[in-house]
Amino acid sequence: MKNTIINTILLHFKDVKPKLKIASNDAHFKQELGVDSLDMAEFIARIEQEYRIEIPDADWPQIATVNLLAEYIRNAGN
Amino acid sequence: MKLKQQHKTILIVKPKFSSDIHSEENFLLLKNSYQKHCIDVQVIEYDVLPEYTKIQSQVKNQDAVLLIGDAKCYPKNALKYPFIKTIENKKIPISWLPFRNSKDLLTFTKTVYQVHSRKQDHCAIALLSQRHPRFTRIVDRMATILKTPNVLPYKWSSDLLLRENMIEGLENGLGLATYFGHGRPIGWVGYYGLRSHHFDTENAKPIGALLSLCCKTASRKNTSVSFCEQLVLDGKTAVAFGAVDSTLHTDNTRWSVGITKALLNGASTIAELIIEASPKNVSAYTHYRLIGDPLAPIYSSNEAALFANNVKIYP
Repeated sequence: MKNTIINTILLHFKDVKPKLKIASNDAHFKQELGVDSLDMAEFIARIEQEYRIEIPDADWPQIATVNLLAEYIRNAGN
Repeated sequence: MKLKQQHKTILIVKPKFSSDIHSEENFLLLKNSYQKHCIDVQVIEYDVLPEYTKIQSQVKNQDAVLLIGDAKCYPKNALKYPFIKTIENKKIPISWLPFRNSKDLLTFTKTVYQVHSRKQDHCAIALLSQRHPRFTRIVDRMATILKTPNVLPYKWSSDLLLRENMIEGLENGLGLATYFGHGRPIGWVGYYGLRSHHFDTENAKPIGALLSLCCKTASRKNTSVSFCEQLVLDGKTAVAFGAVDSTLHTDNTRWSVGITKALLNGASTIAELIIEASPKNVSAYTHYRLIGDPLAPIYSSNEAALFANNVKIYP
């Protein structure tokens, strides 16, 4: 289940930042991958559309890596 | 991708124009205008502007609701959201039409007739934005994603063309336009301050739908009629979508992603577009209102698309 979510996240990430390579699923979006707030806004909006969930802006700091985001989505679905 | 007219139903909630024969006549013209385009019209008349819950109880299988009311009432107070939830939790778009006089109603009727009568040949969208990286980035992304055989995106951000060229492109009867940037109750900050009176092309054809994804363009603060309402009342667009308060950039980005997806999935009216594109976050939709025709088609004719293709831009 988590692996499927991670693959979907990576697909959307590739759409938003095609040139960026994610070496680790624990890499920090902003500090290590250099994802700016505008990229993040589109990325989150895509994830919300995909899973029909709501990710409030206040929760963004909690989902700073692919793994954390996957966990967040899994919990949101429960 | 040519579209055929589908059978739809609209519920119009209107005041009693008992002492105003012209308004009643013009309302009948509006009703006929919808019926001529395969749209069934159900009408509810009221003495006092009904509350949200009262309208909600009347909505069943309709595709959209149009609330006509005294222009003294603000869009913010007339409606709660751009859609209404039925008892079965289905979202139905609801729009507001401020009523000032019978002439306005006639202008609106003509716009509805024109927009519903024209050919729906292409899904063409004008992507407008203020000249600022935060906003041009959104239209860049939308243009890239929408560039498919089924959609014709025209990137007309303020850094690429003059206000006059942009307006000329829109006023040739384009089906859909979206704006991202800063907004005020009297207009947009982009395009060196765009106001409703700038839409002044001779023999202009109305835009199908104009989505003003920014702050306050449906707000009445320090203005008698908001920018979005004015455009509809002047017959410049069949429907406008604007905010009655400040909005967040993150929420408007959510709308941009939703609109892109909805268009790629074939949304062909403003009703379908708004329902499919609406983000789940309450903050993203709670400030927005639909003004005008909630069933306005958003596709463009061959001629309008061809004209838009030739609009002069400065790369």
